[in-house]
Amino acid sequence: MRTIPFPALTARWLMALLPLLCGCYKDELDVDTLNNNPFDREYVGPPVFAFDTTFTEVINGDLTRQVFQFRVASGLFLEPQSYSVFVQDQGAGVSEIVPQFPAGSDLLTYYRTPAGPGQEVCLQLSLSNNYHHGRAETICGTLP
Amino acid sequence: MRTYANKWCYWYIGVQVCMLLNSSASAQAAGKLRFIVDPGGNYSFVLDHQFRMQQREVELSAGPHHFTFWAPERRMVDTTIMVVEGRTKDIVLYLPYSDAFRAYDREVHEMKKRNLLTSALPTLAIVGTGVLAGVSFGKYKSAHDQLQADEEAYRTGSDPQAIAQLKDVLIPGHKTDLSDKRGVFYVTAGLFAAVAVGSTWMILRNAKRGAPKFNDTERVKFDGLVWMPSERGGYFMTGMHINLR
Repeated sequence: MRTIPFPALTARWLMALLPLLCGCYKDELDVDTLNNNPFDREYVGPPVFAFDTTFTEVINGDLTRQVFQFRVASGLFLEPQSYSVFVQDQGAGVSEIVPQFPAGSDLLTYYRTPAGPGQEVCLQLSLSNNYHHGRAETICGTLP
Repeated sequence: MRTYANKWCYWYIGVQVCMLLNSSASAQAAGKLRFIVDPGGNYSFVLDHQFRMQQREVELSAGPHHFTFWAPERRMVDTTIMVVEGRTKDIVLYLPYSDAFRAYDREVHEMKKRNLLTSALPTLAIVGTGVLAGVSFGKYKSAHDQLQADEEAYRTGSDPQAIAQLKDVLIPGHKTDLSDKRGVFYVTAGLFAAVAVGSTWMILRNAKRGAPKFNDTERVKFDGLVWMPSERGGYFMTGMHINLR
């Protein structure tokens, strides 16, 4: 039986491995397909926000304010995350960041003053972190 | 009859006494030779075209004696040395290398040079290009791992701005990087494959060549000096000196 010198033998093995090595690590990451994170501004998927309810409440005995509650579908998150919601009230011309309260709650509340009874209010909502806002969704509700 | 026998007996004893006296006289007329031969102790010599010996010192009768010295790989050297009565003479002798050995040595030298060119250098080339291909593969893998990390960062990201930067800047950059690294890896892997094929061919071709063999023709000649042909094939004549004193 003929003996093959060690370097030649090693080279043969490595040459056999080359096609395998060349075959792996294909460029399979396509940026266009990265759109399932609700925090992404280019998010494409089911709505993240859903109208819950509106009601009025009296604070400090004499001040009435309208409460607009909405839900965040945190089940759409790819990982559990804490977040805030950036609310743009186009009717009132104000915007503010609404935090989770209590922490971990997905039912968020936007307070609106002065009250405008019977009025339909549309809010533009975006998930927010570090004062950066995601894709906006609009939800509407009629104030009591 | 008895007288006749006695006469022969006396004559025989007389001859023996004469021979003893003669040998005693020749023993007194002997001298010593001590050989200091390059290469060391591995040499032989033929004394007076008759006796093959292998010793450092010989005691011989005074007068000229012919020697043929030889050692493996060396040339035979013929010389006549005068043995001086009652004296020990140091003979310093250098046996030059034989032409056959010089040719063999040259062939071995060329074989080593050839081995360097056809085995050592190709091996070095295989190792070098292999390392290069390995390093570029490592970088290619790192670039791929970076993209995987980017994908994971997208999955776990919760900062819209960071996600936008990831998608708009980092991932395209890392994809370009991966593409570049893959190109470099393909080139180095191709180079390695080409070098490996070429080198393997050279190494295998060189391995088929046998090593040069040394045919000590001087030894054959030297052995022939004391080879006595006979009906049964022949025999060597060798000599041995035992100092009885």
